[in-house]
Amino acid sequence: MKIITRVLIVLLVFGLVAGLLIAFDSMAATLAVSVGLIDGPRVEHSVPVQNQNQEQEDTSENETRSQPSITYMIKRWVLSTGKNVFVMAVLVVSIVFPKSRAKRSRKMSHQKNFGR
Amino acid sequence: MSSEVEKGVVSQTKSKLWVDILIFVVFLITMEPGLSRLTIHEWLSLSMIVGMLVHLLINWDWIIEITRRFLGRLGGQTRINYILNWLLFIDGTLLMVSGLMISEVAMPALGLDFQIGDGWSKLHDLSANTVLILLGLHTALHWNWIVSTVMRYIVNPVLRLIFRNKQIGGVA
Repeated sequence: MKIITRVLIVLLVFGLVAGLLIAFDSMAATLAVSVGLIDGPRVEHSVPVQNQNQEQEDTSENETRSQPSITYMIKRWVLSTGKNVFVMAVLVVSIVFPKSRAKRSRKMSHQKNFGR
Repeated sequence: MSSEVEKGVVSQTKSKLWVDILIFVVFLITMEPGLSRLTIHEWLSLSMIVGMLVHLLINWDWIIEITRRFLGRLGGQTRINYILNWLLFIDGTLLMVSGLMISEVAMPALGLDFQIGDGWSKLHDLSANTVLILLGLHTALHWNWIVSTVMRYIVNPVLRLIFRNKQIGGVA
C-alpha cells in the first residue's frame, strides 16, 4: 500500500511537470505564430494512394540496400557511447578532483595545527 | 545495529547499486537512437520510467527528509544535490514527453499518433544533451558512494573469488 501511494505520488508529479511543459510549449507556439515568428501548422495535401505505395516500396528498397554492416554499427556505437561517457567523465573529474584536493589540504592543515 | 537491520541496509545498498548500473547502461544505449534502432530506442526509453520509479522509491526517505529540511538548516552539498535532482527530474520529464510526442513506433503501436512539427524533435535533442550533463554532475556528487559501493560489492568479491580459486589451485 505504501509503495503504491509513493508510485502514485511520483506519477502525479511527473504528470504535473509534463502538463506544465506541454502547456508552456503550446502557449509559446501560439504566441510565436501570432507574432509571426513562425508559420502556422502546414496543411498537408493528400497524395494519391498508388504513388504512396510506390514511394514506400522505393524507401524499403533503399533501406535494404544501404544497410550498414554489423561491425560498422558496433564501431559507431562504441565511439558515440565513448563520447557520452567521456563528457560525463570530464564533469566527474572536474568536480571530484578539486574537492578531494581541498579535503586533503584541509586535513593536512588540521594535522599541522593539532601537531603544534 | 542489529544483524537484521544491517542485512536490510546491505541488501538495499546492493539493489540501489544494481538499479543504478542498469539505468546507466540503458541510458547509454538509448542515447544513440540511430544505432540502437528506433524500436529499441523507444521501448527501452519507456522502460526507463520503471527504472526511475524504482530509483526514486529506494531513495524515498532521503527525498522526504531533505524536502522537509530544505528551508531550514542544510549542508551546502546536500542542497545543491537536491536542486540538481529536481532539475534532472524536470529535464527527464521533458525528454520523455518530447520523446512521446515525436514517437514513430511505440505511440502508434499503442494507437496514439501525435501530428506535430519538428519543434518537439529539437526539444528532445536539447533535453537529451542536458540530461547527459546533469547526469555527469549527479554522478560527480555521488562519486564517493559509487566508488565505495562498487569496491565493496563488485570488485572485492570478484578479487576474493579469484584469489581463493588460485589458492585452491596452488594447494591441489
